[in-house]
Amino acid sequence: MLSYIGRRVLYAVPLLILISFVSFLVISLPPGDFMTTLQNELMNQGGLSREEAQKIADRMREKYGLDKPFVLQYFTWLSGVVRGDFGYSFQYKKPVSEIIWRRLAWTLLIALSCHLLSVIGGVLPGIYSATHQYSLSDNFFTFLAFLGLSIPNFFLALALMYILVFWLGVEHVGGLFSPEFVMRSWSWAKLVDFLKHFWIPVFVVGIAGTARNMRVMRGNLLDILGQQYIQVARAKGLREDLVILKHALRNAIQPIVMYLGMSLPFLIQGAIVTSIVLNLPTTGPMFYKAIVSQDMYLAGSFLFLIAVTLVAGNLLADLMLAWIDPRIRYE
Amino acid sequence: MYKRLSVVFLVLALVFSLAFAGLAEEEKNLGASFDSASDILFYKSFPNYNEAPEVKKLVEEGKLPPIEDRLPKEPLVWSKAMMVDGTGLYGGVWRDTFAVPTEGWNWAAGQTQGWFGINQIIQETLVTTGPMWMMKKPDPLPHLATSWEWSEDGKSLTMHLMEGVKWSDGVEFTAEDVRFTYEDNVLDDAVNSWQSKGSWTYGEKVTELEVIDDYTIRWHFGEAFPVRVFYLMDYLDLSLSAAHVYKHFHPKYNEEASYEGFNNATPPEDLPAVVLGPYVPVAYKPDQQMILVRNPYYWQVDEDGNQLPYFDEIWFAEAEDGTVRTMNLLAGSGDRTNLENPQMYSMALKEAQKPDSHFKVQWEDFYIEYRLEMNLSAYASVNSDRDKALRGLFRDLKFRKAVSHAIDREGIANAAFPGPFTKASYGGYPSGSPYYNESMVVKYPYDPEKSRQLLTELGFEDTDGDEILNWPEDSPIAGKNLVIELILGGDQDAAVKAAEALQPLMRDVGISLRVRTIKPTVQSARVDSGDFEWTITRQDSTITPFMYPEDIGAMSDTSPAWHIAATEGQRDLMPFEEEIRDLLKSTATMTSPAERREALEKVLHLYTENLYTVGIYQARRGLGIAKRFKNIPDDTPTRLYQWFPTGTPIQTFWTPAEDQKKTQFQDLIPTPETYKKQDWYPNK
Repeated sequence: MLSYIGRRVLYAVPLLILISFVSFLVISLPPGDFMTTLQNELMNQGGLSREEAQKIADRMREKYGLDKPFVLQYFTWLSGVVRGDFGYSFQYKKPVSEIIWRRLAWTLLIALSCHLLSVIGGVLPGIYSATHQYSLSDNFFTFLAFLGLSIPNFFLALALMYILVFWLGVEHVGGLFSPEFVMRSWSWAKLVDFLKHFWIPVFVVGIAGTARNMRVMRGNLLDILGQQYIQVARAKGLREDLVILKHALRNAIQPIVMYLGMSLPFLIQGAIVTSIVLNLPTTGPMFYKAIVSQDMYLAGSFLFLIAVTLVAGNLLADLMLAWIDPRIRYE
Repeated sequence: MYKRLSVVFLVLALVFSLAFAGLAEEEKNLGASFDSASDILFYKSFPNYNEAPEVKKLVEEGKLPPIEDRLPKEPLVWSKAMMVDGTGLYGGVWRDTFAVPTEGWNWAAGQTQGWFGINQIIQETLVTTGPMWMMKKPDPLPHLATSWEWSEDGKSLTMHLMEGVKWSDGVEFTAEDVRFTYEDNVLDDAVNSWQSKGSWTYGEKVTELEVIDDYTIRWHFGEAFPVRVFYLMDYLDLSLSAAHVYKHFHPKYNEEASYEGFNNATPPEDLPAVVLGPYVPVAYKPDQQMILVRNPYYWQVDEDGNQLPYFDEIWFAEAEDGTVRTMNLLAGSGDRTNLENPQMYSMALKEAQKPDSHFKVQWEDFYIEYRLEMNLSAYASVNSDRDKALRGLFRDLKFRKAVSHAIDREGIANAAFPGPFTKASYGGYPSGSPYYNESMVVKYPYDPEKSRQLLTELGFEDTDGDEILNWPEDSPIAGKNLVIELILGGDQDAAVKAAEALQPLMRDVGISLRVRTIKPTVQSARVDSGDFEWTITRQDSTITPFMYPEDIGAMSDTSPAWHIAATEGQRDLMPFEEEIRDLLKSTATMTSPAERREALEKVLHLYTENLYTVGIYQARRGLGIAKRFKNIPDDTPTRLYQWFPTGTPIQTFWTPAEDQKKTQFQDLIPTPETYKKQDWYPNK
């Protein structure tokens, strides 16, 4: 098993280098760079003339090496990454790693909660639906699942905010705290305020995953329940709950486990559009801003991290499958 | 009978007009109200001063000196006349939103504090241009410089500074702060300040600053009476830096220091910052919130001797996107927003009109314009026969007229937002500009027939029957369809809508318009290098052409943006462009506002007559503001000479006691001792 993991990690190295090169290239391809954003800011906010703003932008390009050829910029950045230095964010005027870490805690908390909701909220009704096929409750869950799958989560966020603000008169729904609680130290009142905000992103983002898991679980379990070894188990006189939970579920849950591994990047990426709509201090909006303003080291590093988690997630999923299903062996 | 009827009619008319007079709220306007700057602000000492209770407590505890020792000899006084609701009450919280990360507090080195008003709130300047909109003959107002006089030859300007003004850490502000800001920030090429040597060069000489004494400075220019220089002494351009804090980090004064270290000397989270403004940032949680509390050393008072500001605290929520500011106002968790995009008007108005709404929307005059810019450069980024043919065509006034006649401006303005908030624009300056004169504007209104006729005269004809005109025989791209690409930054919703409205109008006269919405950075980069055909821009600065001549004419190789010189400097300015440039240049040294006005009106005439750019529509911006806020004139501009928090001094705003939000951070009001705990603070 260890040699298998070693081989997988080795294969990942050239893949990651290739991904980092392509992502860096894609970010640099369009004309302009972050200093063009700076120039616009100088003109629009600072009220500088185009000429003055352009001069300052050129000076900054020289300072940060943005006037150097692409390949040179890439290798300078890559050599930094190897040493653990992801470069400098022009927008935040801070090292990239500091910015990503700063936002990672909230992102992980929200994403893990969403995963938890989607697994528990998806798998249990999925099992129920499969074991009560075509019943009224099965139809009800199916209807909910299709609704959850078909509504884009950013739209759900908008609709929810509209209802909370304009119908129910809630004063503050964006972000994770009301303004009067942001700076306070943790207390019961702050926790209550946090929960009042926190459920919205978890519900909005988690609902699609819940619906998906519900459908997958139902479909898989129905397939498995029709197989011969389940008939054998029943014929042996095993209790129905044991048949389902011990024999059927183990096989039926595999695609969900596989999907959890593949969605590991989501943990650090967050739901970008929803996070922007809900004004969450997570990594998603930061990544979006970095892409739009061509803050290339921040955007490049973030893409690189997503690639790393995707590769790692796949490996983890494979290992978990081997653990769940004794038939799978990687030696 | 008729006599009786007319009496009844008269009585009814009287009753109705009285009713309306009673119903209509009294307008509290200040636009063009004052004859001189001293009607708005002046300098005066009072026998007694008042201060906010929390500050008084700190004085009683011995943490702050008494108010008489904190204020200058003669504080700056905002007149009662400019306070539409009168002098105010202390207390309350102002809740606002910002959406740009705070870089640090060294603004003189080019760092932003997050825009959205934060920069304006904490920075102070020698003169102020913000409240100029209140003056009948607008001219920069004194601020930290109380008065000035020109030498006889007009090449020197002596300025007198306020005496006894203190920074928020209690250290005195002197001429050394001005010298440090100018010489060691603006003129130092290694510092990314908001202005540079270029802007301070007159008659090929970089302006020199002489310090006469702690309260007197003298500027020496290479040209006589360069009056535009006052606009370089206002917000951001020469926002004063605390020499006693930053000198220590500057490589000129410290061998071990680096410019990188200097720029980042005061990191965003290391608070409080040393400021001259009415509020001091005291706490910042990145991505979430910033807190500002009153500056106990603030050097401005009202006419009753009350130290300003009135509000106790400002809470800035940090958002992912600027539109959150408007959302927060609508939801009730914010107190202010600027409504700049016509697409947002309807939602904001609907909410504001509800009887229990906590905010109102005030509309400024027409200060913004959406205009079509055609690339007039015959050399920059001309890479093909098509480029050559198109640029030649754009430079032909007949074609520009044809385009102008093809545009249904009223239709586009109504589609953007029907009603009194948008109207047609024929180019030059928006009609709210102090330099706008309707009689000088030459209009080429919507007349598709005339447009088609002009295009035919230019030799265009639909030879292949596809309803798109084809290039004439003598063109290098003869027979090809007349296709024009219009590029736009994806963040400009209103410009995108205007471009989409232009498409069918152009097609109607036989021009195929391809609208491409691209990343804003890409659009800027392409426009800067002259690599575009048409673009639509939103203009905020053409309202004050005297301050921003680069957005009107060829003041340098890279201006105007739609006719830049090629890399080798080649550029063929058309005669009218040369005339505009010369007029604009001459205004820089015109001391008489009347003379300046005359010159800029001539520019407006030349500009519109020659369709330098093609105006599409102009719009009013709205200011969404909490109803509980007092001293906000009804005609407050969101931006005229400066953006809102500088244009109308925020230190004069207040709120009645019953509407005040509860404060939370009064224990963070800084004292000199607070600063000594900071790593970066040198005078421990």
